[in-house]
Amino acid sequence: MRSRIELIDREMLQPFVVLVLFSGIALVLSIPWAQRVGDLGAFSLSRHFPIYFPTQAFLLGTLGLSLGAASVLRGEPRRVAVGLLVERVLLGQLLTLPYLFFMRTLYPGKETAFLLILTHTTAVSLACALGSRLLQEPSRSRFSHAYPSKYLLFITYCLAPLPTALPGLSPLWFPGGVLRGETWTAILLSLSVPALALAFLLLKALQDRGGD
Amino acid sequence: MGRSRSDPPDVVLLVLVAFTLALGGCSARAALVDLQAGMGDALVEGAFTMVQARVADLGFPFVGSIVLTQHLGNEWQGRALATLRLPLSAARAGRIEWTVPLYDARQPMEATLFDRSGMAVASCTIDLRSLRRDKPFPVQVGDFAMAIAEDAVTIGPDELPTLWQSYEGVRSLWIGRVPAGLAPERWEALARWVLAGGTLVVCTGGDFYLLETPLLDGLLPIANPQLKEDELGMNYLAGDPVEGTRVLLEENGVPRLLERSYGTGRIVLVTQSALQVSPSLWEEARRLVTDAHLISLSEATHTLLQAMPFRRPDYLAAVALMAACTLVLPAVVLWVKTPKRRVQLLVAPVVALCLASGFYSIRAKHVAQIYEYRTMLSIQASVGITLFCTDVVSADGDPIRTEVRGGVPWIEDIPASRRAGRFDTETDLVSGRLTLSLDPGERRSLRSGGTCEPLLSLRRTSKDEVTIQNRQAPLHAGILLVGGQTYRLDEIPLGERRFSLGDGLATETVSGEDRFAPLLQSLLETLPLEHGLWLVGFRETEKSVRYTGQEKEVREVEVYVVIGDDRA
Repeated sequence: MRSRIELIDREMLQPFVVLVLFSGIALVLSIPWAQRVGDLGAFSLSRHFPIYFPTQAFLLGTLGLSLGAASVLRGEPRRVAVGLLVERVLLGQLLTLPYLFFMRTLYPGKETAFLLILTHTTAVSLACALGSRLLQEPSRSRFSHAYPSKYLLFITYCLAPLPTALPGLSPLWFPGGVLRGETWTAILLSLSVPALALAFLLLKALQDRGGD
Repeated sequence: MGRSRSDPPDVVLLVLVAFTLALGGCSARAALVDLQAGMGDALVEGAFTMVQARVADLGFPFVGSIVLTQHLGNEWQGRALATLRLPLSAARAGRIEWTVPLYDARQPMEATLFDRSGMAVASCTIDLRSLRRDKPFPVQVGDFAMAIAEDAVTIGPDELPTLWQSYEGVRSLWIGRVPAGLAPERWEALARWVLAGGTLVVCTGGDFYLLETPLLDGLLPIANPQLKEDELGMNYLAGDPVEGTRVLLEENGVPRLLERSYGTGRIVLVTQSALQVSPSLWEEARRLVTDAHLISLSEATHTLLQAMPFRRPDYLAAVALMAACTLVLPAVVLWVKTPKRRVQLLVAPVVALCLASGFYSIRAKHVAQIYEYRTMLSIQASVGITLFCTDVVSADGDPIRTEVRGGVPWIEDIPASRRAGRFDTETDLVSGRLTLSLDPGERRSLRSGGTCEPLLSLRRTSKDEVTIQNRQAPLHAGILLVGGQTYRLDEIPLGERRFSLGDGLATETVSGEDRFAPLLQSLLETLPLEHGLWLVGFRETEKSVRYTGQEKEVREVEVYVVIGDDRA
């Protein structure tokens, strides 16, 4: 089978559209509904419904999982797959970049936090993409056991830390923590999880490159 | 290789530490701070009260600060802590008077004296429980034939506060026979309190000349006062009633009680000496004299804050952005065949959308975390007062800290149950800041008062003409009231300006009339605007400020009420 080495084409369109569309919906929902200060209440949804960043983090993770699987199914050789996955994850970030600029209206003066969130989500998405590719590679089938297990792993990574003493380890919690002004220790600890996973997966991918 | 214990640097260090400790201990022993709170032996919670401190044995001139700490509530009600740092300058050392907010008299107030370097040099605690009154109380100053009321507090003329806000807990203040009279600063404080809504009763008769000052002459309900004798041969004070004076009580054609309004308060003149008033007259006087009711714009400020527009980006803009981003992607991928060109054509509109989004997210669209509405009411007559109200609300999803600026002590309206929020306040009058902690959606209401110089004046220059002298800043809108008739002014510029009442002054537009409606309503309820000559002017400012990374939207309305001279 001759592999197609393209950054994005018709077959790759769906995960990107899902990312852009649902991130956009989260952006719209994140805008407070209040018209006047009197509409604000301590427990009122009209005050704030800050779901954009957790939604985007989750969608970028699932984008990574889809990209990794697609990379295997498209028969992309591993020597180019790593580079392509990096580019595709960055394309996903680029496509949602206008939303990030818009989010400045909701979180003014939080540009440093935005950069940290951007770094974190990129690392998570890339780790998911590489992990997905490495898991899916042996079977080369869409319906292998790797398909549900990688999603299960990702959902566990998102949800398991939430009830613990370290909720910042979850990619869903991390953006809120950074925006609230978490300590640098907590931020670095949260960043270290996807960074270490990414480093491990990159090494693994590069080590096995000769197998292509 | 380690150094031995007897090495010289350690010895020097030890000597220095011992010397510093000894010095600190000596100064702490020698320093003395003595604190007194309340008027006489009474105070009311939730109001400003007088605190006097005497600081001694510090080797003046002393520069530092004194910190008053009040613990509020209990485990059941919820606890809070209020601290107030007051500056202490060399010029004010000795016996010092402040007006401070009093929240909870069930717990002691602590005072700690700090020197310039921030070291505590003295402290004391004052037990307030025995001073606590459930409600405002009458105060009598000087000699009286009998007590004016069972719950009245008797104090000497020198014990009267010199800061008008300290009279907040007073229901009515009665001045009897005061042989040495009152000091001018105390008359001024009393005049300011009456201007804000206080009730002052002055017993005169033959004692009038002990009290007489130019300021008192301007407050009394009569002009050209003179002593006369009634049919029983008793002296009483008579004169020409000033406009708006009401005779509350008269006996055999002799006025015994006269009342006039001054600002939002009242001055009652008892035409006889406090030592000669009959029991029946006292009884009538107690019944007829109305209680003090200080003007407050708290409710109006709250209403205005609630109506303040919430600043946020438009939904339409967000939906348009979402639609553009979502459509660009399939459009480019499906229609452009060349992979390289596809990427180029994808990047270009995304960059354009980033730019558009960036331009849209200017500061005017930023969601503010804190909304603050400030009102300042300045009432100007022969003396001037200012009343400040600030309402702050948090629009943030997380607990935040914010500050309110102003070099005056603020009092916070703290609910009986403090479990719902964190009501700690930290006021630093050295830096002029009050720091608050707010939970999500929580609102705080603060008020304060001060004095001002009358920089606006109003006088009738002829039957159909009034002159306004403005020496402070242009006002954006105003209302002129002449004998209950309302004239609307679009602007009150700086300098002297004559307004003819006959030709077209009564225009139909007041810029921002609707916005100021709650304030006007508060004024109409408390000021006797239907009598005499009044000017009500407004100035409104709006700004966004940044405080520790938070965006704060501040709107401020200044209201100037001027009592005019209606003598043409």
